[in-house]
Amino acid sequence: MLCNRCQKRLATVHMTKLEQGQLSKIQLCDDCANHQMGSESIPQILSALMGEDSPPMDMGQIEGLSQRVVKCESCGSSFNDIHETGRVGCGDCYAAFDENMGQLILKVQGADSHRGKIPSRTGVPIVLANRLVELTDLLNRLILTEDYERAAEVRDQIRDLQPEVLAVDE
Amino acid sequence: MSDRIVLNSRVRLARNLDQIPFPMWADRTSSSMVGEKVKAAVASRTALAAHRFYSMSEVDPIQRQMWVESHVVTPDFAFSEGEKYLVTSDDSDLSITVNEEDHLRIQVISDGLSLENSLGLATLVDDELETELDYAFSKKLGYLTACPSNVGTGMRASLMLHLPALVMTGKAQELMPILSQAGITVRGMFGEGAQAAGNIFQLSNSQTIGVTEEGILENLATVADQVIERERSARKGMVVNSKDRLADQSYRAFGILNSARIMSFEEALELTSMVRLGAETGILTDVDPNSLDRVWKAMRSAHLEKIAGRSIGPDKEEIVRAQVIRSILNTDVEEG
Repeated sequence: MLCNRCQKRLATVHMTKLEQGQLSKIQLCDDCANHQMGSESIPQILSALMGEDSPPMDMGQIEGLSQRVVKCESCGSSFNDIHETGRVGCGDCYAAFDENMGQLILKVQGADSHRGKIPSRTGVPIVLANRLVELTDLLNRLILTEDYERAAEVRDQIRDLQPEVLAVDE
Repeated sequence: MSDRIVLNSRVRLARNLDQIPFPMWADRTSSSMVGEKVKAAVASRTALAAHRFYSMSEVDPIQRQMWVESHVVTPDFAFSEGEKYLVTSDDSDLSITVNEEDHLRIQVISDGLSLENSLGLATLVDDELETELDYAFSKKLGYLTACPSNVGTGMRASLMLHLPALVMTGKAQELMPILSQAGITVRGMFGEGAQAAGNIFQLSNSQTIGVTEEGILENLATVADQVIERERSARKGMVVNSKDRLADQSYRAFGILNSARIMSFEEALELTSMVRLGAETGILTDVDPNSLDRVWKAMRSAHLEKIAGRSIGPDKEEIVRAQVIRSILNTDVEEG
């Protein structure tokens, strides 16, 4: 894919931009990304995330970064601490500052949804819930294609799985 | 003669405990508690029974330096203050650092190209520990880490490659942007970028979220295959186009390595690389590549002290290095 900005070079940096409350994705080449971002440090990425050509901002005035003054209830870190050090305080910080962390991860890594391993013991509810979503999607597709015989099988699998999901939820 | 372009494979999983501040923000009490929890978890699992739990501050500095030189721990982890622990054993590829940047880093380093085996062992250990420990994990973001650049799988997979022909033909620099676009980070193991001392580079995955562990390995292996093919092609080109020069350079390097009385680490690294290139292209026939492996391991400071069985001191280190290298090469020639 070509860079959205210069339309000449291959896009290698994938950014998500917050503008007037709307998220939009842009793809840039290295040169344009450097021109836009200045630096790839995590604190600077955090600052630059708020708009392509915005002047230096008072971060506290930005709605999306109002969380900077809130502290994580578990470890006491503020988003400002994370902003300045590039290091997160504890696991709960990710939920406490979820919107900003999500944007940061998307900018740094180009993705923000885990697709890998799930812990074998504590992740059982997640595995079951994911399986339930997969089966429900499959059921809907089978109904749309009028494959009622397989749909019935999948319906039974969902019925068998639901008590397990409820049991781990409790 | 077969080449040995992939020196080693490494897989590292970053894990943190739920409800406890990450190491950078944790006080001594929290950090000690993490150590106690990991120690108890390791002790309770028979699969980890052969591994010892070390408190870094109580370990002999030479041993700590040996772990640094073997890339088991970073210099900062080995020698900085704090509640830092290491789980490892002498005859295992596995190590677990406790309270580095993350609460746990499970690492497997194995010789040659063996990414899948390394991931297999790391995953096994991860599962064992997780039966006892509650990890910080999010359904959306995966394993939660101190740095957002590790979140998701928490996995960094890397290959250490010896690429002398690509460096000597000026093609290593051209590869850097291509590898970057393929999602691979490159750095010199002993130095930076294309100036990597000893022509040794580390390739690792840039992205840790939005991909599976297997996907990360597949991408790294695919890219590494292409780099290895280019290195082999560059070697063939050198043999065809400049055989005499290659022979001269590799025999000169072998001569110095086998004769010098004072040898710096950097010089040993460069000479060993040249000798290995000569041996692996079939031009230099007087040396056993296995002895070069031994030279590579022995020539680092703490390893030299272990071989010498005494503290050497910086002023004598280069003399002992030259002695040890000569001894390894001559013994192997005599035995061969």
